[in-house]
Amino acid sequence: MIYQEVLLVAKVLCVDDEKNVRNLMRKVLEDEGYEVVAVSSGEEAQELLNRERFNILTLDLKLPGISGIDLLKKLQEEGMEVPAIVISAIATPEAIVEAMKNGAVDFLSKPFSPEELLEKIKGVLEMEKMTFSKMERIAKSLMEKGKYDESEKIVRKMFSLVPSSPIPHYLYSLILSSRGNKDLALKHLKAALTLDGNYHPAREELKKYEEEN
Amino acid sequence: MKKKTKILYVIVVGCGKMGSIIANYASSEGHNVVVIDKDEKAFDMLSPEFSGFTILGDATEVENLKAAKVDRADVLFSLTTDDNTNFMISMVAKHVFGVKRVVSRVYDPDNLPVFQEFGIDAICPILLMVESLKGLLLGE
Amino acid sequence: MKVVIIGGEKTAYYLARSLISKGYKVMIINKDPVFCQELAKKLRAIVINGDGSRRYILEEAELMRNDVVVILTPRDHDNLIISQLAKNLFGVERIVSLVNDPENVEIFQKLGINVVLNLTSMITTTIENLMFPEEMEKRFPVEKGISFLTLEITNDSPSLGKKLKDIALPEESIVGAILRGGVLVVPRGETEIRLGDKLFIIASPDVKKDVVKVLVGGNGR
Repeated sequence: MIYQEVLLVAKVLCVDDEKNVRNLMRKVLEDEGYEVVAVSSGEEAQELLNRERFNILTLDLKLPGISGIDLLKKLQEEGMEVPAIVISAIATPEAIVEAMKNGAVDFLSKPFSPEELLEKIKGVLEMEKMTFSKMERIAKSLMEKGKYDESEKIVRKMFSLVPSSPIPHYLYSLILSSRGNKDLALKHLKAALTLDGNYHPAREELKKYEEEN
Repeated sequence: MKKKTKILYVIVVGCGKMGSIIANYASSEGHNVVVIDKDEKAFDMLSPEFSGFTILGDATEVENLKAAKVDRADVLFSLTTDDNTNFMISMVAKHVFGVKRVVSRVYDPDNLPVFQEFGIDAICPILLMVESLKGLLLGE
Repeated sequence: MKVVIIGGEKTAYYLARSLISKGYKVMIINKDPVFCQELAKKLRAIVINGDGSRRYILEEAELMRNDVVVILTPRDHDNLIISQLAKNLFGVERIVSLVNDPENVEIFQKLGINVVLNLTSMITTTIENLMFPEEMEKRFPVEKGISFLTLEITNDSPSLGKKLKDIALPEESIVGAILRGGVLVVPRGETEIRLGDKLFIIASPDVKKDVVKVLVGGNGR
């Protein structure tokens, strides 16, 4: 089951020192149904990324304090997995290459049209979605082979990718169950169902528990 | 939220009183707006709600028009305070980059024919005023 | 028929002086009143103090269809409109304009200005031409046993008018490039050697003399 809602309730963090650009991003993205937080410096962005979960980060290269590239480097160092789109007026091949080398997932040059922005955002989210379902498959296949520890690593990543999805909770409950930690496993199953009452695999698994007890 | 009118890519050259008002208006109507001015302070005239782009530079230098992606513009307003500057920018926009609608402020009525000759829509504040004054004179 | 020089300073003066000495009727239009006074004193020309981009000034100058208009201001946006006024309102057919920014040359040409002079480009090209031998050496570091030759083709050159493939160049030599009228020509077998061509040759020192003889004869350089 592919989680469609990923695209609609995505939370975007926009970092740009120009107010008019922040206004534009907010207008375009909120119109499309995304949740948008816009800040004017890399420092503010870092703070927010530490506190809240975001699906996508957009940032300009030219920022007042820490530069866009340095922010990307820091995020890489700290292992933050938020995909970043660099949006800059400087669109030379060198700038683009440097951005991508430091972990940017895509690049958009200013000035851009709303269509271009939305296309890029959707593209990145699609990529993440694919990665998510791919991870689901890999996690499952690892579990089938009995490699629960490795599977756990992947499931943990899934948690941070799509916090609102029941799938990682469900998978984690399977892992916990295999280790004998039934109580915690049950908690995660319930969490999965809280996130999505219709998530079939979790319902089935819960039924099994109720039958066993 | 569907918009009834088509969304245009608008470039405004010159962020003085006229330029900033047009830019603010176009932006609030949902159009894609790029404002070019060679004086950074001029952008202060844009409203806090302005949601478009600003480019700091002299628009008579082609590279600044290119940075504004002039080839994609539906409309270009040349609203600097100098007729000759407006002429050059308008000509480049229309005849080199093919912008369909180019509107220029023209201060000196004597210059109007040249602009019109080249298909540039010209707004002459003095003439507009004269028309209004004529109206007042005749008691309209 | 007169030559109308609009804008420019020293250049306007020297140009006017030169044209007058050749017998042309010259008119000068310039914004600077002091400069205009000086010119009026020094030259036998009509001097109008005013802005050449204003229509009424050009009317005062009685611009005619068969005049030649030379526009020399340091501002391209002024030059452009002056040229368009002259062309469209007065029907002038011969317009020479200075274009300061190389990026603007295209626009002026597109708008039908016959002659467009860009000083920056011209000087750049000249410098590049002068630097070419060094550029070549930079790209192909001189090893022991390689010579670089620059030969210019004159009327006496035996290779003039011949195709490269028909020229008996020694084995250890090759014509690397030909500079023709400021443009680089990649030499091929069918390339014909023309008057004024600058040939850049790579050769082993032993055959240098033969190369020179075959291409330019005697002690050509």
